[in-house]
Amino acid sequence: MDQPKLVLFTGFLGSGKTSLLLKCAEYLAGNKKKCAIIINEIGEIGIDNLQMKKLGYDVWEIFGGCICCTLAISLEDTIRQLQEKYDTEYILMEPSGAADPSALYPTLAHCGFTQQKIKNVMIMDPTRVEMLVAVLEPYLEAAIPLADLAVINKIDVATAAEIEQSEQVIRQYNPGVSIAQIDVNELTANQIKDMLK
Amino acid sequence: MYQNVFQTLAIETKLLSRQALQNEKWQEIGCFFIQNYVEQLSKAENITIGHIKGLIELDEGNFIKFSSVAADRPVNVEILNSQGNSQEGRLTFNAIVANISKETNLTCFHMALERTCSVYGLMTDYKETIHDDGELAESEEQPCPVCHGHHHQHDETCGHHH
Repeated sequence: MDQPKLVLFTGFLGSGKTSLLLKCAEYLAGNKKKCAIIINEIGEIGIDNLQMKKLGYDVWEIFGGCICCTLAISLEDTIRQLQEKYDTEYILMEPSGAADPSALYPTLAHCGFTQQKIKNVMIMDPTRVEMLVAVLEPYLEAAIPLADLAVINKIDVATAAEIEQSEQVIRQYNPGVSIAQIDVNELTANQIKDMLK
Repeated sequence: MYQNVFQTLAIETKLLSRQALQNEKWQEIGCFFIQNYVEQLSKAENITIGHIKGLIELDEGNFIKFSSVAADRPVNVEILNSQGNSQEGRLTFNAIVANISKETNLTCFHMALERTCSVYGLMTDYKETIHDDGELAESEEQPCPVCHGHHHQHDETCGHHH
């Protein structure tokens, strides 16, 4: 069985990871591609997984902690089950927006997903770029360098200055990364393809 | 990384209307509630909003998802089907906020829920109350069968429902 393509949707809380993941899942389903969704939400009640299940997706939820640290074994077990029992072409994974995505990589490598086999789509909310820089710089330092594609979301509501500042922040930590500017509700097929390739 | 910095408040409750409301009305109610909650939060000093999410499940498998990251931004809404009517909305609420005590957070939730129920004439089965000393406790007295006693902590008349 071929190894599935693993797409990570990283980004701080509220950046639009779930919405973007759902658009990708919808695109894949429309193209008869089999995909599995793994979600790690913080909080005692999962809303994103509830939404996805109601939309008809089979979601593997990992609760009760963070897949980067306390639930690394659960994540590994989930991925192994997907690889062994299901003919999955894509795994779409959304770690919690409060987690350090770099801590995921050792677990993923243990499952055969080296960094080269992972597509990390890092999403940024430009409307909160000032707050991110002021309060959450360690997160930016950890998350942005890992991005294979940086996505500036919410361009329909962000100002030009916020979008420009977001781009500068991304370039500061990952000078060579491709940057896409999107409104997740108006995504084109080509934009989705870029995220999944 | 920030799992211990951001506190989560997760609550499930039912919102009941005397008559069936259109899904679009439930959308308005959800937005009003989330906006109110975020406005209450913003009154607290030094808080950082991670993400505020709500999901209202309606009849016939319909649902509406709400999310917000700031008081000065509109509440984001995803609605699958704007057609339909429901008398009951099952609210799942999840707030991820930093630099706030659970008591303050719950107070914000209470106030937003109370206001929402008052404005839209709704009832809720939410039972938790906060005493004056800030201690969380289940309500010991039998709640009012209409408002369940927690819509109006400071309104002994229970006037807006009767």
